[in-house]
Amino acid sequence: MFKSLYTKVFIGIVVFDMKSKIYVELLDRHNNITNVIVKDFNSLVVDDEMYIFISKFINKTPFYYISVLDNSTPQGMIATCLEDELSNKIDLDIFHHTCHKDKWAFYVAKQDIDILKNNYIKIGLDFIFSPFAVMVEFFKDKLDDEMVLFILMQDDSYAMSIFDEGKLLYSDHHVFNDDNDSYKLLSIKESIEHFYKDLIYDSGFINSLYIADTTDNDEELKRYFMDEMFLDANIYNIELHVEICRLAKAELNGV
Amino acid sequence: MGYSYINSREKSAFTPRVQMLFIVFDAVILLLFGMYLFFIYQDSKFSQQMQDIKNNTIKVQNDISDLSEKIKKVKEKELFCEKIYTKNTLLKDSTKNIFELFPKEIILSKVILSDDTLILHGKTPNKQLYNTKLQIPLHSIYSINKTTLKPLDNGWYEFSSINESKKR
Repeated sequence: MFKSLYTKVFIGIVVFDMKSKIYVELLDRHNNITNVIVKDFNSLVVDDEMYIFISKFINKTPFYYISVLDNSTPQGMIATCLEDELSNKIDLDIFHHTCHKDKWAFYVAKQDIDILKNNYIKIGLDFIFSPFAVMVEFFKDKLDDEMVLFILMQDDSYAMSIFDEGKLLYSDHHVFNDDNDSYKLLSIKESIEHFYKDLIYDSGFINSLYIADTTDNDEELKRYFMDEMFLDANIYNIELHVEICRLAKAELNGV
Repeated sequence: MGYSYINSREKSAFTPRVQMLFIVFDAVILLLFGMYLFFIYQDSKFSQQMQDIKNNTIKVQNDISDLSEKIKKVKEKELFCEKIYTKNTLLKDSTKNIFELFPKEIILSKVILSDDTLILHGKTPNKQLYNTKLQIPLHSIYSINKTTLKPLDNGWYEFSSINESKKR
């Protein structure tokens, strides 16, 4: 009852290029967005400047939600939620997993979750999202397509998954060690080739490619996939800080 | 929805500030209620005291009335006593006067003195002594005198005198 008397604040934090982008979305009592603020900080953890900035918003209401995108590696998706089957793919003592719609699970090392929590201990965290979760939500209306490849492209990493009519066939996450664009594209190509060659994957030819891109290399990406793999890439620009706030709302049952 | 690796922290509308507000509000309500009870208690106490005072007033009034009655009776008694005293004094004086009235030669054997009556019995050596020394003074005191003289063998007279004053 009292909850409806308060405004809400959603804060999305995305770390990129040794910076932190903080996105603040202010909602009124009727859940309408009243203001949006975006600010970059030259820190990977919560320093004083970042703390003062965030405190200004979270002190306004008890209903604030802080989300962060986890780009640590290794992480990925597995096409099951059953513990027995999961334990065949990952060590459940080492990896933390979250089951989504009883179809597949996102996983990440427990240690990386602890590191993230510790990095944000001053402000605390409400949600930690995998780039795969962002990708699945962003392309949710295309998951049931036949043999479709999804890529979430960031400056320093990519997340990739292949679905066939809603069935997860393959996932891969890679953090780039080199800032060279050719290296980045080659890494993706190698991952796709790995999918085709490896017999454990139910390989088929990829019909379509969707890329959620946070970089400014749309044209280069499109040309590369066409030239190297004869795939016509559908490229969408994505703002990860906005998307993780959208996911936070979805987690709160569509606030 | 199963997107996040962790669950959101519990959010409560009852922030420390709101809790403090409720505590203050509760304290004020409690204080007001306490004051209300205190005033009810005091009111009841004052009503009881007022009733006690009324009862005491009635009791004191009754006591005053009783005392007045007693004072009245005591005054009546005092008046009565004074009257008795006066009467006794008068009687004493009368008796003294009467006995001073009798000459030494006359022997009294019986005297009855009441408010308006003096009855004398005695002996006198002769009638003249009785008439001059006793009858005349008695006559001046009492309006009615009845005297009988009876001669004795030795020459004396035995007398009986009833003297009365007229009642008004």
